[in-house]
Amino acid sequence: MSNPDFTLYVVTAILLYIIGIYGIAIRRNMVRTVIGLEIITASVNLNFLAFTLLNPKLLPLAQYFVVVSIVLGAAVASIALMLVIQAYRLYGSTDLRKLSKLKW
Amino acid sequence: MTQSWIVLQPIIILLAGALIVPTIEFLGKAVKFEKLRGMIAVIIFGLSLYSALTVYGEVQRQGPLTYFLTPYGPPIGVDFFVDQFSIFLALLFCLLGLLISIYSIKYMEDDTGLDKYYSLLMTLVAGLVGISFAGDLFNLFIFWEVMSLSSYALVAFKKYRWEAIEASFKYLIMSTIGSLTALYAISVLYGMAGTLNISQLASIIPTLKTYPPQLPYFIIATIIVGFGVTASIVPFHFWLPDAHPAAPSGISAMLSGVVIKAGIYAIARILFSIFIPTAFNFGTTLILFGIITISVANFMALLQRDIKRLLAYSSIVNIGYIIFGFGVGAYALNFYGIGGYSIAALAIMGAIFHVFNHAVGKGLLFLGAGSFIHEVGTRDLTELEGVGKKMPWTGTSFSIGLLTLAGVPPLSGFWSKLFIILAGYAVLGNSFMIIATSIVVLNSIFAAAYYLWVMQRVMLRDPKPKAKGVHEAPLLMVIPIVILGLITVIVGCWPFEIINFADVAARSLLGLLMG
Amino acid sequence: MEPITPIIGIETLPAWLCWLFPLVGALFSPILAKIHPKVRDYGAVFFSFLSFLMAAMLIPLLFNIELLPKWEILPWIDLEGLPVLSKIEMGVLIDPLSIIMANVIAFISLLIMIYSLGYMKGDPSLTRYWFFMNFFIGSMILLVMSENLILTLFGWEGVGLCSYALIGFWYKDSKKDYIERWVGEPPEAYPPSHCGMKAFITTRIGDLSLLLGALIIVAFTGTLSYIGLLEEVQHLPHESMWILVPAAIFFFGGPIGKSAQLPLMEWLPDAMSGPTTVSALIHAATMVNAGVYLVGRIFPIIYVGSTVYPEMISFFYVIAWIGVLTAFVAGTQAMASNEIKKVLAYSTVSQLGYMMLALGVAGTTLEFALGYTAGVFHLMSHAVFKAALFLTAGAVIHAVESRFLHHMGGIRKEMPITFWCMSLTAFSLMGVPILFSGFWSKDMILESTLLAGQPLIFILAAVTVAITCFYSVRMIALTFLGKKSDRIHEMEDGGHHVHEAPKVMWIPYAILAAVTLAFGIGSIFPYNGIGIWLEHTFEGYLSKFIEIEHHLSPVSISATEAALPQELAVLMTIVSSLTMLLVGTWIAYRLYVKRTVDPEKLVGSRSALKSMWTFLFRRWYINAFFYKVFIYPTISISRWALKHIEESGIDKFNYVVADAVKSFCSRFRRTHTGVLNYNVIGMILGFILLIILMFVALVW
Repeated sequence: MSNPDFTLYVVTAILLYIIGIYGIAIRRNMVRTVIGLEIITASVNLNFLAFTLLNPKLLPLAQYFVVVSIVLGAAVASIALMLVIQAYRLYGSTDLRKLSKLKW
Repeated sequence: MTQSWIVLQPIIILLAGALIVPTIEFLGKAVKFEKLRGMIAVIIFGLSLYSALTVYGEVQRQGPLTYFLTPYGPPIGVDFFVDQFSIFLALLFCLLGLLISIYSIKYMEDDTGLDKYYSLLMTLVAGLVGISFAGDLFNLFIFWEVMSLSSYALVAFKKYRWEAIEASFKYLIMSTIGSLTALYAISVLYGMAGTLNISQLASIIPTLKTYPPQLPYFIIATIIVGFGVTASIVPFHFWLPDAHPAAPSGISAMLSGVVIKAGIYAIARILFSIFIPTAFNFGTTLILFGIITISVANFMALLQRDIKRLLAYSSIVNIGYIIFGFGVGAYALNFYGIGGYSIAALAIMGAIFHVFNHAVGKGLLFLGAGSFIHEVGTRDLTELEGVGKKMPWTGTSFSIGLLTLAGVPPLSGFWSKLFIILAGYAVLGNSFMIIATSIVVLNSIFAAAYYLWVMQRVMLRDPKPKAKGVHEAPLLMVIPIVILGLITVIVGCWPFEIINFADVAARSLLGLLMG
Repeated sequence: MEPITPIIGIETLPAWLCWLFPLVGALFSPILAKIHPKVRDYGAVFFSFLSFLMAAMLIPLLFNIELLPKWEILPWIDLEGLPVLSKIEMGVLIDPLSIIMANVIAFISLLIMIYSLGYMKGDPSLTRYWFFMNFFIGSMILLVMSENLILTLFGWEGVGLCSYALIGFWYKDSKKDYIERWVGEPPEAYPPSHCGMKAFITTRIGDLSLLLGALIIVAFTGTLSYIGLLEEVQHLPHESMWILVPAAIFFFGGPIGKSAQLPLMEWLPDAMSGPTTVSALIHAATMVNAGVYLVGRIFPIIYVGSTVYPEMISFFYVIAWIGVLTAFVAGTQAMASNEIKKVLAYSTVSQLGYMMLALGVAGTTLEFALGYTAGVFHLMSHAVFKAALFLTAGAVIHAVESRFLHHMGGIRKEMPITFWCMSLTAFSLMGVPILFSGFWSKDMILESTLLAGQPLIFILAAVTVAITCFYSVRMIALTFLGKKSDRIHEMEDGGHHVHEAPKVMWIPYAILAAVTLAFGIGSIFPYNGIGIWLEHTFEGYLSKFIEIEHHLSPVSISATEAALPQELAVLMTIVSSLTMLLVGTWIAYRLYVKRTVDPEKLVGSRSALKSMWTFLFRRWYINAFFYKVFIYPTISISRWALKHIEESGIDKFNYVVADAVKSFCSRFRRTHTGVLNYNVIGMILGFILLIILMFVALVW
């Protein structure tokens, strides 16, 4: 709060989060869903780093967290994309609404 | 709190096993022994259970154990913290892992890629044990991701069927949103407090004054959302009825039995140990969400025709009970201050005991359903009528599982539900609690409707044509089911050992309250 | 009271195993049956043999009563903070009463199981039979061995269940089995399943009363164990003692039911529709003795209570009078019965009345040991001779293929062993002097009534001796002596000849006949006879708990004063019992052995005799009364309720609710669309809801 950049970063992070969620909630294409996931990852990483502006002591650990988080994000994305490809093979399209055979 | 490296043992054993199995497969194209993978997996799980028991012994003797993995202490290093609550869950995870690996030897024998299956199963349990042993939040998050990734892959195991892919995709997306949201909350928490070590956070958070008071509540909400996705609390549960049926039955048992409990563990640990209930009022929220979860899942479960989907919804119901139990505990502490400690201990003890009961019972049910499906070849309940008569051992244990979840004495499920409901009514003079607990009781009766319906269909009717020709499942599939059934009956008749264990676990969860 | 410490460990192991072995054997029966039928049969007998071994291992303790009581407790449920029943333990109590009862039960059960090998041969449902027999033996021994009320109640319920299952063993109720398997004659002919239900419900009423009494006692004394109750009852505050009197009387309701005393005696005669082995085991030797055992158990407790609170003596008066009235009424009913097993059943009720009578009068005097011992000794000897009588009756029924006395007759030459065994044991029942244990035990009972100063009871009991002799001789005469009946002639013409029972069947009842002789001869010795020895044992043991204080109740003092001096009592007893014996036997002899007067003509000719005979034949109309007043109205009310309340009201309500719920749920299901986008939107809405709730929580 004592640092105007801090507010900027935090608000950006929140905005990114909202954009990511929007992407997952509204978009029909499965690949966009995965992209939305990555955007949310970015938002969280940004949030970590934003707090280090307030308290520089936090920096080394925050960097460590962010790196780990990026790696995990990559792993998740790879599995997700594998599933998208397989789904395309089985369903014939990347439309998320077609992926609703399991319902009620 | 003593330092002890044996805390790491179960995790290391499981991770080593996860590496050994593919290695053997890789080296052993000449070793054409099919069962070898399964046997190695069973041995590894057995060793992990044994080492978890050693840790249990240590914790009983010396109190909570910690271990710092890196030479730097907190807040920088990675640490493990094991108290009775953690070891309770870890023992449960290892036990179920062992039984399911025994089951999988026979159940999965027609599938390919089994080395990856067992390897993933081991990383799954390693992740679970790591979550319960985690001493700081980032450690928790890492093991959380290990567990989640293993489970995504396991749900999609039968990757040539559309059902597994669809289910796994939805599971992945929703669960990752959850993990990331939880990570978001962790980041805010980190920014506020400067450390992620649970014990340190517990001492810092209640006294923190430099941040607006809304912030902790925002974090609590986000934590509940984030971990609640995996724990399948109601608005976040949509993945579960798709993922659990689509996975192979052993994995369904793992998912329903233990993976969703990991979410509960995370919520409980963070909320109760860090955001102490006397200072923060989150009990009402947990109670409300608990009730919503129970009711919605009950409505959905009643009319299901797919046996595994019905069991999946029933898992959600039971998570609702557990969340309700924790909520009552938090509410009692908030409402009465420190005077509500005994009610809170009772409620939380009931919730923890219900974790055990549901894990055992639902594991039993899914394994039994898997046996039925393996023999008959269909998941539709109208075609599975009467299988229990043809498969007596499986059928009887299956009925025991249904009865214990319906809360019939003298089986174990009765006791845990009794404690939760008693604790709910014990918060006296409070119409909110009385109404809430009455809703829970009504729902419990409601749930008995479909449990008994399934039991009637499976056990008491004459076999339909498809089910006529079956015979009892192979021995290795029957053994885990019967063992789980025996555990249910024994714990039901002599529950006092487990009740004591759960009680100690509850008190240690609340322990930071008592100074 | 001297301090008594529990003993844990190997010494009490036989007591635990004694009841565990049969229960395990019961569980094993279906498994053994899958192996081979013979394995199942011999296996079942083997388990009851093990139980007998365990009981026998406890006998040496009877000779060292300073070591008793021993007991062992295992905690089962321990919930502190509950106002009542917070601690429930499993335990066994070894003392003279339980040792004697366990041995009686185990020994006779073993012999009956061996007999069953022959009697039940060829029956299609033997697995069920062995299961329930072993389960019964286990429950019964649990009942007598248990250390506290709760386990006794478990055993009590267990024997009730098994008796229901075994009485109704041939539940298919086929009409063509009427001659062998049903009970009674029209209008009171009942099929086996009906009899099983009747037994169960009648004893249940007794059980309810027992439970009520037990709960009141527990609520006031706070403990369930017998040893604990002995202590607690002395320390109760005087004001609350009054509740123990009705509580004890309610408690006695259980024995009234289980031991078939008035007014709940009607189930026992109809329980004869089960296999004869069941009748022998359950209704002669064991289950009906459960009531007597319970009274014996509760005796020291109430007795000690009566020294503190005199009104409790009325409990003993109730028992004594119910006992003697039952003995008389049942004896007269036996005189007119047409079926061999029914005679024995009424006789059992009558003898049980004697036992209750003995225990009752014992409680009214200072020298309780005589009456107490008389009751227990009579229990022992009755178990032996009545079981033998039933087993021989079973052999006869098998041979003649009918249960009716008028279908038998004249088969003494073909079944000599059975004849002699039945006669010897019947002599014991009648109380033929010196050689037979029945004489000693019955005379002990009569003596104790005189010593307690109860002349009326003595007279009734003595008259019943005559009645007993009458029906016993009648039964033997009609069965073995005289001419063969038409039915037997038909059978022989058809090629079925009456022959002696196979070895596996006559050896058990021969053993029992020998035992009854042995007890009789063993009681002759004036200072060490069995009866005297038992009396010293019980006196020595019970005086550990019952210290006769000087402030005695006025009632018991006057009873003691009204009592006769010892020698006079003994003389009067012997004289009157012998007289009654001779009277009864001579009348029956003239009517049935010598056949100087035809009993049918005698009854038919005079209307007074005819109506008396009908009165006795119709069981004093007690049975008909119960049916008319309780059973039939209940059935018609139930039918009415079924039609008008259940079907129209409750079922309809169920269907309405179920349909409403179903339609709601099927519409609710549509919210789970299965499209990921909507699911995530749901998540977001949930998130927002949570945040709102959190802020509300913050503000509150």
